[in-house]
Amino acid sequence: MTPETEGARILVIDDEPEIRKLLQVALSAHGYVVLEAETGEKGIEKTATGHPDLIILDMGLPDTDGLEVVKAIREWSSVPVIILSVREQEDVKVAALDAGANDYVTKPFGMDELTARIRATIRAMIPGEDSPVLNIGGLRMDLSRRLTTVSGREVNLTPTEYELLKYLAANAGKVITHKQLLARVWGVEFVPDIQYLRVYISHLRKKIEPDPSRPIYILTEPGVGYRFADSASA
Amino acid sequence: MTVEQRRRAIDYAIVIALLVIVTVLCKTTGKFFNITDVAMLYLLPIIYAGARTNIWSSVVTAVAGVLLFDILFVPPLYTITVSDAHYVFTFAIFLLVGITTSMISTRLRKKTKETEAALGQTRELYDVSTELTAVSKVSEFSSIIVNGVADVTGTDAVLYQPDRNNVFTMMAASDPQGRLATDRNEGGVADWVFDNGKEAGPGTTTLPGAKGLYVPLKLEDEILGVLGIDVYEETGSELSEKKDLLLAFAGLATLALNKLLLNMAGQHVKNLEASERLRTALFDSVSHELRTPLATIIGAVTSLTSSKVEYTDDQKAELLGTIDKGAERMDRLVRNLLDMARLESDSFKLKTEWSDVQDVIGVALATFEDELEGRSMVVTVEEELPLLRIDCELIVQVLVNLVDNALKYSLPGSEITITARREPAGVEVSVADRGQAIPAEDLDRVFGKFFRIEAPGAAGGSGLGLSICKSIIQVHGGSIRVESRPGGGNRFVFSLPVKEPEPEGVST
Repeated sequence: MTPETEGARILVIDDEPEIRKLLQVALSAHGYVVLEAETGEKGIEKTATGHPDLIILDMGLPDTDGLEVVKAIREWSSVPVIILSVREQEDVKVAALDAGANDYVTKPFGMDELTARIRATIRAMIPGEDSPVLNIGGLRMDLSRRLTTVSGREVNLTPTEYELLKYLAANAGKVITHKQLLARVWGVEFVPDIQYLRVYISHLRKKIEPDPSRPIYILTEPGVGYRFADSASA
Repeated sequence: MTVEQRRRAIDYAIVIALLVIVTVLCKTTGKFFNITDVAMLYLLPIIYAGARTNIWSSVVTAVAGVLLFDILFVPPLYTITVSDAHYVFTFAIFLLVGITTSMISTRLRKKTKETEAALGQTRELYDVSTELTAVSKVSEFSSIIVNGVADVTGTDAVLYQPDRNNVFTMMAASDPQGRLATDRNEGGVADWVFDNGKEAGPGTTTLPGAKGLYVPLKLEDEILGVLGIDVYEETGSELSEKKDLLLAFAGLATLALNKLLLNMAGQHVKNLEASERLRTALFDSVSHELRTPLATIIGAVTSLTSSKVEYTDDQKAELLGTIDKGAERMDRLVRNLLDMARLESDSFKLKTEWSDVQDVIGVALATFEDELEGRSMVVTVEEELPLLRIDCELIVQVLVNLVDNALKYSLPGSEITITARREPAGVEVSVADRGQAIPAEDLDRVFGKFFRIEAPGAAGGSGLGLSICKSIIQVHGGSIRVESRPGGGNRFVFSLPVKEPEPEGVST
């Protein structure tokens, strides 16, 4: 429980009563106010009327799939959305992230993992002072001087590597899909394939990771994209 | 006397009658016919004999005609001597006409006979081919072919084919005790034909000493089988005629067998596809059904073990409750899966015992414990219901699935009714809820495997429960259906047959 997220309102959209009950009990104990909806339609309605600070959305709903719910909500709201999905729903999950969902947790999940994601997501929404310096673990990026250091040692990055790292680090803790990365760093018109991205990530890891095969900064989310470890875990 | 003999006797009588009539007619009418006319008239019986009887009878008739004509009409009368050498020529004509007519008609008759026989064989082939189109199993095919061949050729027939394990064996014999079926050397000849794709046996260049004549059922390069007939000690035209028939049948059999094998292969692929679809559906359904309770269990356990938050006792109890429910839900699914596997296995057997319906309902309801809290559950069991001979565990599972369904698909607090009563067909048990009515078009489909009603607010489910209920009730010889209730809701009804008389010792 951190002070900045205390009292946040969380809307749980899930058709399984047992899951709603579990989240109701566990998240209340964490100091959150929990709202519930059992269908996508009711979820959208409660997003408008209940003013949640965060939505936990199940992908497999009886009336509509989670992707449609994300799209509907994103038309008028930027409330953060964490997706709950089972492993078989990989495609839907990526599509939902691309459509504007903020993060995802795979069922079954550990409660600590879920609450950590909730905290990170809510924190990311709180506008911080516009600092020209990113400090995450041992990594320091001075955006005004385009200077990157790892544990005090300066790292030389190509312009593309720099953009890639800047975007990931600025969104530390949040999963970024392949598509989002490609569109952001290479531009929307030119979207090379994922292979291209893998090569750059591999170069970046060699430069900043103490052990590139066991990365601590740039983490791979299989089938989805990458996540820059937030300061807590790095 | 056969038909043939009677016909021949009539023909002889007619010939004799004609000879008599011509003789009497010409003798009594005096000078009305001149001698040339008489000669012409004597040709009548000769032509008739030639046309209707064999060559010897017509020669005899011709000689008789000559003698009658010579003795009675050619001067000098009543002697065999002929005054005019010219008449010798007339006699020769008589004989010639008799022989020629006889030869032509014999050939015609033979031709007709052959045509008729060929027609019969064609009809037989046609009949067999018609029969073959309805065949769906290789064993049926084999027996139709050997019996067809045996009928047409009038001798024993055998058919060899590779069996299921691809071992070349005799699949059918028109006479299982016959020479071909019992002689092991004959099997060797069939083997040779199968290996070489060439015919063998009497009338061929290979193994002419065999008792049977064997031809391969050959489709392009593939040998589908070997067809053989018994031609022991047969030679000449009869042998070659039978060989022709055998070849005709072999052609027919090859095409039919090829079609049959293709159909079977197609069916096999279809079966595979269906089982693949079922497997995928099962996988999807089970993975969802297992993961959901697993998610609540893991979520609750990790909450309780986390050191980051202090839970109150009430919260702890609630979390433990979700673990309990999740575990029960998994147990129910696993039970259904095991039942499904059991019901579909070949070695499945009902473990029937005499059971009391009220008892069965009680056992089923006991598994729900606190899930029934806040529910009004009305159970009505008619007095003096007969004991049922059922697999108690399975019928409990049926009730558990039906009650589970009723709980899932109706609002918390709404009433659920269970009734059991005697009906003419047996004992009828129903589970009724006040949930959303199943659409009319789905009333039959709900019992299909993996069928789930797609409705807002509908609870998740494996789609296995009702299909298992149906299987269980069916193996008990009963029936199950669902109907919409007046005033809303659904009623699932199953009936189980009552087996009379009741036993003296209640348990077995």
